[in-house]
Amino acid sequence: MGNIRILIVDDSPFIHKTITRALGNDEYEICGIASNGREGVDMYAALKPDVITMDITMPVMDGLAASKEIMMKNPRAKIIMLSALGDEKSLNEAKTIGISTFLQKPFKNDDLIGAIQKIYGESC
Amino acid sequence: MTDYLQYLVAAIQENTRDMTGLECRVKNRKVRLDSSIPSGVAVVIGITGGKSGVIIVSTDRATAKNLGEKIYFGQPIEDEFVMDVMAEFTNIISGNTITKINNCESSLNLKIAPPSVAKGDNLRVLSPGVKADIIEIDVVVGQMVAGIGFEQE
Repeated sequence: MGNIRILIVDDSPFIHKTITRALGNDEYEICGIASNGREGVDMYAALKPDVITMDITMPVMDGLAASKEIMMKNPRAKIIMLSALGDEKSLNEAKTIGISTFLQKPFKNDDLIGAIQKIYGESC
Repeated sequence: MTDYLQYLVAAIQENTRDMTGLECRVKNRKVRLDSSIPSGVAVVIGITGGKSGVIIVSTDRATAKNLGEKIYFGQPIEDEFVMDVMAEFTNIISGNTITKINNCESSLNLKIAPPSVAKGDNLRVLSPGVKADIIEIDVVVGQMVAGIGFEQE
């Protein structure tokens, strides 16, 4: 297995650093960081990452709208929804778009790594 | 204490414990017709959906720095990054609070807006028309003030 290339889509510099720190080994490469959903959609098209970590609440375009746009272009896109919101309606909205992996913040590093390994494994 | 304030207190206690390892204790509760909080760093999160409102977490600069460093794995952090950490800390607390409210009152379908952060002396965060429940919370490293309020119908 080569490097798993990750695109982080989140408006929080703290989350950028936390995820980068959690995935700080040779198995993972942070190939891009987007600060809102619009940037995330554009960077996904340009970078073709293996896995995206996607926040929900962001300025310009939220994570659900961005995920919908990405999934319409590539239904096999691997998106992990990473949000402080974890209520049933938000989870169902994500599932409707085709996202099955959801981590509620604050997340444990092991849970993030487990989710990435699981979702990446599904595409191999 | 209103139900909404109880959800906020629970979210603060759970997430402070998870993210810093510290316990916190509720001190005083106030009800105000505005949500003004004089302090060093204030993070405001808008609430939208079936009701409009705000969640505010505020603290003095020293406590913000102490909390920020605890949250960021015990490492020293720059002042600018303290604001980012406090913004995300409040975002997580707010998201968890709204999740608890939505799970009990799903018809509200509340959402949160991205955080706004202010720093300065004698801060007053005003949301006209919002009646906020404000609490003071003791954490080992200092004090926080937090509040949740909704527009009056």
